[in-house]
Amino acid sequence: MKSRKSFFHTLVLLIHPEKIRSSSIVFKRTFGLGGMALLLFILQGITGILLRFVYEPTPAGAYNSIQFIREDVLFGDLIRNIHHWSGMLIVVVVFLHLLRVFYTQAYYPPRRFNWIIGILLLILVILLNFTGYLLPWDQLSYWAVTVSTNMLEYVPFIGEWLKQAIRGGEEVSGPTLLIFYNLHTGVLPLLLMALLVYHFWKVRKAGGVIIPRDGDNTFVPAIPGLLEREVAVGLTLIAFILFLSIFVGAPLLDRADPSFSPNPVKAPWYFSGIQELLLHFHPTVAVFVIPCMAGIWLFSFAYLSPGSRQPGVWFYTQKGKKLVMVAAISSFVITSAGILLGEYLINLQAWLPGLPELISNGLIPLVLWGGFLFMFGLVIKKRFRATRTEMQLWIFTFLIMAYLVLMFTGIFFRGPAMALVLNY
Amino acid sequence: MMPRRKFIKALWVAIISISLLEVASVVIAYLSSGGKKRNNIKSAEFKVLARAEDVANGSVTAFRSDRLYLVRMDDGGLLALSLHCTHLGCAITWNKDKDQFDCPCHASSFNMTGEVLSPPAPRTLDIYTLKIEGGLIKADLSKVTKRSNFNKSQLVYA
Repeated sequence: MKSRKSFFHTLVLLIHPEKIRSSSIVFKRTFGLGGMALLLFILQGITGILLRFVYEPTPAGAYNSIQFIREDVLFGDLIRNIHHWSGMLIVVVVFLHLLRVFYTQAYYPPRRFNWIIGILLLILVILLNFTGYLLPWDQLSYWAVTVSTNMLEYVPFIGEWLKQAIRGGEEVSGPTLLIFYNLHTGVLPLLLMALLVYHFWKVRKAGGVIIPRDGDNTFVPAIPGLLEREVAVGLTLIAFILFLSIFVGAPLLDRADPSFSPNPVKAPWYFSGIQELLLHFHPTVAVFVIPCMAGIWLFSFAYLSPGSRQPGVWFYTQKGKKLVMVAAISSFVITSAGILLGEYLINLQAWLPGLPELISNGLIPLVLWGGFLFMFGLVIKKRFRATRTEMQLWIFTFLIMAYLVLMFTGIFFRGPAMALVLNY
Repeated sequence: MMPRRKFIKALWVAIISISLLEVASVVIAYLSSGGKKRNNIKSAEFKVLARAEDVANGSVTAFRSDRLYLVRMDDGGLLALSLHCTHLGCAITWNKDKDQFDCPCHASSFNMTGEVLSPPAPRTLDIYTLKIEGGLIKADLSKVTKRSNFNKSQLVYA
């Protein structure tokens, strides 16, 4: 067995173990999502460095340099499109990766701390996309970043300071572009790389990806079993991105004009759920209280209630699967109904004129919604005789679906002046 | 032996923590000082907007590059309203037909004095300080003033 290994062989074994359990390389175990995210990050690194040779991070030069890339640089448009589509796809893939990890209960020890690292990585990926969003300096990016950073103003006590610190001044201007450029091409990628190494190391320490107890647990060599699957997924992904980038261009509107807002102005798509919340709740509740509550729950639930588990089994049990379905459908219906009610029927601010808006349009609807969802959860728990872990599945699915409905409403069903329309 | 080792170990931890805090505070000071210097170049810098006699009573004039609207009431009182909506910072536009400011982003509207006519905007439009010198209307563009509502003392007369 002591054959000499090729250089390539050794390279692969830098990340992978020599032998691997055969059930862990079944495609449906992970859908290759973690690997896809890594590949997309590498693509972003390569195309990003290429774009950096041409891009100029000043309000006067940014837009022109993008136009120059598109029109005069050989393959410039293609490189920019690849960067755009991979940047969008990496957010989607990392989100799906989170779903996979959650629904196979891979957030318990020895993987529990890696769940936290994973959430931090998700936040970094979103921040990377967001800081990149401003760089074209066109009407789309300028105003999306203006409304998004303005949301920070509603964080209690430090909001105004936070907004100005991130913008480097009162409004989105030259300093903002420099700050975003530096974060996007320096600070955030470095942080992400450091965390990524740690993330992978923790996966190895936990004995690879999570697998069911009753699976085929014999060991097989990682090369070729794992490698050929990774290459297949990777090449398919690259082909898909190339196809997309050749036929669908990244958007570029008119040069940014700080004195004229287009109508409507929308935050980047992954934040449009928060923007949708803003239409229904007082800003402090919409941009601070609700996201904080959801975030704290995501960080802490694996520590607070270590329920029983079926590692690696999708949706825990048959009942778990059923609860996930019930949560997805009921959340879809309830959130959609909530949006319609808020748009056409309910106007707490006008009904309770004596109260400050923070209470009439913030605290009261928050408590009503919270109370309603709590009661609904109790009914579900009783009706299905659900365990703790099954209720976690229910809560998580409900929250995720609610955000997706809010987000897609914001993206597709909000027209001029943010009125509800059928087709934007 | 142990207590002494423990003590020295604790000392190390303390020294390293203090030095890390120092480095962090220097970095923060560096970053915020650069930001302040850059933005405070214009300390109370009054810029000439127009000649007072050129601005008609009961009119609204846009100074887009200065991010403000110069409003003159029917009695000649002047007010410089920030162009930015108080909700999410979009640029408002003057709607001549309805005599109001509209925000294109979330349909907030404001009257001529900057007071909210329809939400979601949470407060009255911000203002810039105005003064009139030698028949010229000047605005201090270095800072905006937040206010909860409009009152007559905010008006400046020629």
